[in-house]
Amino acid sequence: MQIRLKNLTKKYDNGAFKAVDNISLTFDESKLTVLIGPSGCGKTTTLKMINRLIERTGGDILFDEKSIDEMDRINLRRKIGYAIQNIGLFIHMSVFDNIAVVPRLLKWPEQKIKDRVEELLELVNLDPELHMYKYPAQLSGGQKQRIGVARSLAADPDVILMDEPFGAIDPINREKLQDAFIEIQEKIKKTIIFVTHDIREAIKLGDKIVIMNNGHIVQYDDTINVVNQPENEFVESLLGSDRALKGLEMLSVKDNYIKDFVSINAEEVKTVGTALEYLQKKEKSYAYVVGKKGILLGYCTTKRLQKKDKHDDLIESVIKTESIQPYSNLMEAIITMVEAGLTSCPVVNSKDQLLGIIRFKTLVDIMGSFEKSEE
Amino acid sequence: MELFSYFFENIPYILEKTWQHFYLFLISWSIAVVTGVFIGIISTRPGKEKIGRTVLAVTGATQAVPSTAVIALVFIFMGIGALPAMFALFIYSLVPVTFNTASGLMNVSPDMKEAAMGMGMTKNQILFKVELPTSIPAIASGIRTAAVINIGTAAIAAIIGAGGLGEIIFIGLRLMDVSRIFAGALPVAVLALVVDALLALLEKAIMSDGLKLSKEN
Amino acid sequence: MEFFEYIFDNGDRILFELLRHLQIIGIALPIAIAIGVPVGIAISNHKKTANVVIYIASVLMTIPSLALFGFMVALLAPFNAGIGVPPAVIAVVVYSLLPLIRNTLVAIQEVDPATVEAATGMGMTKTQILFKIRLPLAVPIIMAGLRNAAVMGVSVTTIAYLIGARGLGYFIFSGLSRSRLVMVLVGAILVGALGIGTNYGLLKLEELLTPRGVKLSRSKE
Repeated sequence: MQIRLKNLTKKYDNGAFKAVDNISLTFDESKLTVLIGPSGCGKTTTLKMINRLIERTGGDILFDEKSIDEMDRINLRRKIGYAIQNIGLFIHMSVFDNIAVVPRLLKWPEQKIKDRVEELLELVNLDPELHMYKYPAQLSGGQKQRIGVARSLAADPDVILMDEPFGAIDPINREKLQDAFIEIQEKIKKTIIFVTHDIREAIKLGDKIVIMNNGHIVQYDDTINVVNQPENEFVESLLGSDRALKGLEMLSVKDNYIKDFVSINAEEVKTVGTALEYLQKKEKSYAYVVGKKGILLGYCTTKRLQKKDKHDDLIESVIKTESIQPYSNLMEAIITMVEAGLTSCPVVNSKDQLLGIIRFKTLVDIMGSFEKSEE
Repeated sequence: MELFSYFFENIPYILEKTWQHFYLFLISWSIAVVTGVFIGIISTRPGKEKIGRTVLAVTGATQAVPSTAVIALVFIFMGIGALPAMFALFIYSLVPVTFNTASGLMNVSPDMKEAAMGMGMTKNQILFKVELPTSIPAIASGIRTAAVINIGTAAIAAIIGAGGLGEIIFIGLRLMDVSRIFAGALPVAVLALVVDALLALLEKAIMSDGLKLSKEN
Repeated sequence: MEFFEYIFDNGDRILFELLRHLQIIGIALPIAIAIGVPVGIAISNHKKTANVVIYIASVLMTIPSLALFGFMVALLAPFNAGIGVPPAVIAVVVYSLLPLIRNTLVAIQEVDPATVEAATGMGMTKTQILFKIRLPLAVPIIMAGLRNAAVMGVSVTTIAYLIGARGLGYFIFSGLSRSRLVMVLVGAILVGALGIGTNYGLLKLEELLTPRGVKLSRSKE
């Protein structure tokens, strides 16, 4: 579904203050568009006018060219997913009942609801068996946010509005949630309008970015164009000084990792001796070790293995390693690798299965190309 | 065991007075619960925040008025008998129920309300599915407080001819008959404790596990 | 008009009963504080004991005041102490225990563990932590308990007239038995005003005694 804002305006105090001033733009179907700007720029007001939590004072909002005035306010909201910073989970309802709210309002049959809840919990990487009947008080902050996202997707809405949904989470968990969310959006391809004040989040998540200030649109473009060709000084200042690094945030690990790596399956290769033979055959000094279903266990080096007895268990010589997920961006990859002192880093999916590796050299080369474009 | 002598010699009479007492309480308290919850709800509907705050301020202050003052005032305007007594009990029970309902509803997290609205709940659905269920602890404790003070006040209301167990105590006090005083005091105390315990059980039964858990945290 | 006439004619009497009323509360509350606050502190480390103590205190408070007076008359009669000021004081103390113990307990328990850890790390002893950290932070909540207790005290003392303790209950009960409406009215207004006034006054005191830092961090939430 495509959403078009036409001369959208919100005035307060009899027109003395314009929170949103005559803005027009189109949110593309199946894209994630980020609204960003300093507090008071009108981004949240714009968002809330779309599901009519705030009533506009001028202009129009069109869903596939149909004005929202032609739709019943309550029905409109049931067709739009909505997630907010403070989540607002209903503390008296279980996780199941929280997610089931809109489907029940829409009178879905119970079996369909149950299937849907399970599907959604899987989607946000929470074990349905374990979490379905828990209450919000029993969940961590990150889990609550995931349930908040799952709840907004519950009735399979075409449009999802998100108001800083990851804002109340610590940085490490926020990155994980963002990664998981990108993965989800790859699958569901909804029209998402996402409000944030964090430019890194905007660059990481947004297909397109709307930069707002004082109720006006300053720039609206594809994320890459916003980063490379900021419209004016305001946008530049919002982006900050380290644009080469910011550029890395737009690119994701999944487009830059290689599958050319050596791995040993610990299910088949049990002893140090066999592992050494394998490494020598491949002429490598190290290899990643995977277990059941290809789950990454760590790596082993010839140096270390040679110090052990041939008949020792391979598992005991495995060194643990940092890993990174395909939907992380290259900035996160660089930080992980610098902190762990790795020249290449394994890439694993959300189930910890080894997919490939990313090399530090690749990242340095990409950064260099950004620096050139900046000059 | 002289203390129990009056009690054991007059069991039918005491049972009759206990029933009278319970009756005074039940009628006035039930009406107060319904009325109080109703006032609490309508005074806190969206857009009426000012009325809600006024209701809270007024009921908050009147909770400090001793029950005897309320009985006295009702006596002045309505005279003596069971009906004025019930009216006084009703007014006095109304205050904690209204106060707790209004404050419970006003303290429902705005995030939950925004989420509910954004999901497309109607105002009534928000009230019945979100606001009231999450306010149950506050409302229930108001209802319990009302029951306990109602039973206690009903004893004092015997002074304006309400009947009930207070009558036995008052006569006992006038005659300085210790055994008679005791025979009135014991069932009043037991009645209050039993009703309070029953309501506590009821409260536990209707409160969702999620609320219990979030209260513990 | 009759109302004001009564007040002018009986000024001395009103003053006397008011002072007696305040006297009973004035003796009872310090006793209640001296019992309730230390008990609240003492049980704050023992969850099981705390549950038992709170349960007993709440049972005591559930007993209607007239019944409690009845028990006291009955039980204290052999000692010739069943009527007068002492049982009234005891009753006010009994009813004050729950709010005081409960609020002290909650207040002490609610102090942020990180604050206590910081204090321990700085080398404060347990006693120092209690007096310099826990209690100052607990003052507002304990004060709220005291306010509850005082308001209840006003109410209970009114009924204490019936067991010969005098106080403002005189105007109501004596007026009722003589069917003197004006006397009842004066009593009701005096008692009501005293209850509301006590509540309001202690609320202001509560605000005054709250450490500025606590107020500021509360208003931020």
